[in-house]
Amino acid sequence: MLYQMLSTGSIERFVYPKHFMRYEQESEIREALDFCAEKLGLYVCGRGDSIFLSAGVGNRVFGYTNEDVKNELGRGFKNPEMYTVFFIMNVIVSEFYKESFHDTLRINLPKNYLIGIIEAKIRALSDFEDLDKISEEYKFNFREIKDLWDSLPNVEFRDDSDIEIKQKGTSSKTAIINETVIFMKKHRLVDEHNNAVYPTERFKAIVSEAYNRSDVQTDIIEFIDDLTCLEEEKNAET
Amino acid sequence: MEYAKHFQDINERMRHLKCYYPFFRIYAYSYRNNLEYDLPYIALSVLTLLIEEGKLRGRSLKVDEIEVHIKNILNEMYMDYETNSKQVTRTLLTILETDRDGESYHFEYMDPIRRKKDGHYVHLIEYDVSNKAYQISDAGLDFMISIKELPEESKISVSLILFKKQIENGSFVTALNTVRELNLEVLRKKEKKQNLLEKMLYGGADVVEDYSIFSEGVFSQLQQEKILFEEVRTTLLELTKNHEEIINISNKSANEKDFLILKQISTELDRGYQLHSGLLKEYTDLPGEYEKICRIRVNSLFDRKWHFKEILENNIRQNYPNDVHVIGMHPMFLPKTTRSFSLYKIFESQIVSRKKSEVSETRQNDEWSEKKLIDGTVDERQRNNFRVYAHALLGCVEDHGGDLTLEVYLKTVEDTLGPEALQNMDLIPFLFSLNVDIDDVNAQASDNSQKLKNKELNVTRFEFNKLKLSCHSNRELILEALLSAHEALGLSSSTFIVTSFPDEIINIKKGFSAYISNMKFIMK
Repeated sequence: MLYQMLSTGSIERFVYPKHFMRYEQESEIREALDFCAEKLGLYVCGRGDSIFLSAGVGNRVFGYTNEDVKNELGRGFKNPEMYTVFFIMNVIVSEFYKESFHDTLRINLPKNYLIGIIEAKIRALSDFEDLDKISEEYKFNFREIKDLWDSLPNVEFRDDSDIEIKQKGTSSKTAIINETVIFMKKHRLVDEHNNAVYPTERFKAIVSEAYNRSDVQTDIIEFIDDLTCLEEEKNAET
Repeated sequence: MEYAKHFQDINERMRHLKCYYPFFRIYAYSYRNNLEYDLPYIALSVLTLLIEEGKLRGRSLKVDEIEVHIKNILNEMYMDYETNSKQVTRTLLTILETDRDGESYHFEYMDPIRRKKDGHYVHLIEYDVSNKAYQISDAGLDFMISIKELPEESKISVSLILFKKQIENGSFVTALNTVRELNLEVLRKKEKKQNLLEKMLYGGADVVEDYSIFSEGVFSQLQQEKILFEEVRTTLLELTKNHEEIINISNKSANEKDFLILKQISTELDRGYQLHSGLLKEYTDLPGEYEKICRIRVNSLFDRKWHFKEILENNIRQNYPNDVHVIGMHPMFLPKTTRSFSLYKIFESQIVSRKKSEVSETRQNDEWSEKKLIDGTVDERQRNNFRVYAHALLGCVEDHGGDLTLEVYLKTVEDTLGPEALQNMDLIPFLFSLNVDIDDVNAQASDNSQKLKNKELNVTRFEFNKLKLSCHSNRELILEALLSAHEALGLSSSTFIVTSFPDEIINIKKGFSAYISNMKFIMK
């Protein structure tokens, strides 16, 4: 099962019914698989009719390094752009998963809503007097992300139903969001339909598992999630 | 009135209402926005399509297929005018799936028993990301079944209705899948039992509640399956007895295939029956199993350790190939390691880079270090000395009724400040400065260029009122010193006139070879 998952990334119930059933029914098999995967720095994330394998935190053998991410994102993506992509991914996760719920209550994320929420969160970052200190505390480059975002023009979204042209690259906020979604699509984390982003089963399985892992730094996502909550509170006060 | 029972009853009714909630939100949306077309009506049509062409056939429907259906419906409904079917499809699918912000509909009500709000998230259709197509959701199916009057069918489960409809439609393959799904449901219940058992072993917050929910679930499963087995077995028996009947129902020539599928359904049903019996057994065995595991677990860690060791020793003793030991490491020896992007990457700690704060202006020479430069020291000394001499000069002129000679001034300086004050290197520059051409400064302050034209030779005029208006940074040292002294002494006179006599040379101090032209000071 481990070999298979390493080759294809997942095991589906309908493809390997016998293996899947044994995995479900026999706790020893589950434990053994978890044990072997953990030794390799991998996480087994089961959900519904699939079991996914994902490289754990800091796994450079089976997981992507920063260089790999930048290379795949393409020309123009340097550290600030990559960190911004990670920030956007964090926003996507936090929008789908509120308050560490096991499952998502949101069905999709309309793209115009996504750019609005990212904008709001970065605006909320600007309110912090010492953003460098917060960046140090969370070990997340908020300062670089904010500076980059502020320097980018806000290009309007084009509806993808009629016009196939999609803005790509690093020249605008929209382009970076598009690149992030494309990257996530490539890694079977999300899908795009009707100008909205949908989470895949792999995405859901990985995120659910993240909240159960002590070595996954989920406080960063809580901080990002709370960014707009603070703003809402402020608005309510005024 | 027994309120607890009453509230329980109402809670149950509210729970049943949840699947209606999205429809009436759609209805309200359509009403509020005065849409040209009847959105809720078309919504029901699409849901019917998703059941008949989707759920009953075990497939999901692509957007194009739904759009064609909507186009046909719109053409039939509104013959007089044309409606944009693409737009209608988009609106309809969005509103059936979400509350238009990407979230499920949230049906909420106050539960007086638990004294808190009870919320349910509902959506009528769902987008299947892997197939890129739509299917009806469980809530949607529930809604569609409950709004059609089927008194005898409404008592039995959704699965049974589906299964019966599939058999009636001749969709035997889908019916087979439904039975398989039912069996999977039993297996899932088995898994739930395993989770519950683990929870019982390690202690959970709501173990008692979970245990009662589990046992209720098993009973409802038993009842559901009992009806299902009876009805389906009867139907199947009738079908398999009369082969001709299958042909009539299915309207297919390839009836042999159908017959085989029916046989498979029968086998699956038998398997389901066995699983069902197993589930019952599992349920009854649960408390015993719990105790047994508790007993074994005491020594499990110890046993496991020695078990591993024993296996390893046996492998070596029997000279098994090394592969046996390296199974765990096997993936590491893959010729090409498949790497993938893990979402956990976004949670990794980053190396935080701190930018140097940008220097917005050039620093002055003296700002580079705290060390004072010679020029600065000289300036400071000269400024102080000029002030002292100016103070003495204006004070002396005032004392002498506004008219004073240089000799008298020097004598006063010697008397008041001491003989060293006459030898100070700043005295001569001070006296020289009284002669400097400062009319341009005065002119700037007064904006009166006439002054420049009427300038008298060897005479310098200081107009204090106008000097005060001049810019502080532009003032010469001498002007600043005189202004300061004028203010400090609180003099009322506003003009100070210095007249020099270049032909008359006087000695500053006897025995000190320093000479300067004679001068006269008038204050008025």
